[in-house]
Amino acid sequence: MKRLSKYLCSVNKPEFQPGPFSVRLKYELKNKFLEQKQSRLLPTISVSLVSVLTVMLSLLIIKPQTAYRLNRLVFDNNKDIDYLLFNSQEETDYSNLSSQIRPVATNMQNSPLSMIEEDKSYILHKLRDSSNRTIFYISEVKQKVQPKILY
Amino acid sequence: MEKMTLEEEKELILRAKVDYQAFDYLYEKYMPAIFRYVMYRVYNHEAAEDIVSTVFYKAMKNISLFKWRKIPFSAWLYRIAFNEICNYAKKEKKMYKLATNHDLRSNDKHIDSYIDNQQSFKFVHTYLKQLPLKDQDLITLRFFEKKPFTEIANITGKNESTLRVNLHRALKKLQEIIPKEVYNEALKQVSM
Repeated sequence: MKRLSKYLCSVNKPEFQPGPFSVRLKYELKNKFLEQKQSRLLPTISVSLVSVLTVMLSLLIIKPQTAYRLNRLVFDNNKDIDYLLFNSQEETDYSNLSSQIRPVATNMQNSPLSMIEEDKSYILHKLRDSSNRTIFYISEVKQKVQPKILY
Repeated sequence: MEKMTLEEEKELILRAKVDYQAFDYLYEKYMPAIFRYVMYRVYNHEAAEDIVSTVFYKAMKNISLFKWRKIPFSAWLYRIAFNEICNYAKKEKKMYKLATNHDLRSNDKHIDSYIDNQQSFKFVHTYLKQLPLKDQDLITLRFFEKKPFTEIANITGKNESTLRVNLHRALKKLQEIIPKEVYNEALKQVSM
């Protein structure tokens, strides 16, 4: 066996050189590396974008005022009247202004309109911003539900 | 290419996970050796190019998974190369079976080729190819690549004493494959 080992050691081995293949492979590997880097970056960007959009969308549905405030905070270019914020005043009780509840307030007692039954009451708001522009907005008056008297 | 210590190589591999320049350095260092090893095994330039490309693509892709175990990076590359050579051999075997007009050389022709290409590598390779893949690998690493047993142990993941026994058995098989006249002729050349 020793002689065979010796023989194998003494075999004339050709000198294999990679030649231009080495340069070609190097170039291909570099391109592949850059592609790999890009392919890892793209999903990261898209996932983060999608998650930000999801948060924004859910915020817009659940708490529109917060979304609006956030929008103003980020962009801060809206000097107009933030009429959307008036939604926060929904909790204010305007029901006493309704002619149904306070008919005297409407001044309709002697008018022919007093013959017609009021279906729904609205409040018309007139607002003016710093640049003297006017905006009207109408909000619906929530009618108070009379609690049932249980005998 | 200057010699690196294991610690320096570890640093370089860590950098290569994110920096192409570091990987390029490793490529420049080990590519010729891997190419030579693959050529000794497959003895076909085109196939060797394909295998070496796959080896380095896989190395680059999976370098982030490479865990440092105080084993040189080259051992990992050799192992990938060995697996790729096995895949190539399987494909080649299938092709060989499919081909109807393959030319099977007779032993006489082998003797002729031996006389023509005295002690040529091609001659040895013809017989070597008939051994199991692991034996081929062991003989190539030990006699053609001239690797010490410690390094072969790193590549194959076996211990040195097992490798010595395996090598002895592989040589015995090779001796049985080579026709007696050719074998005696070859050994005469060694003793001369």
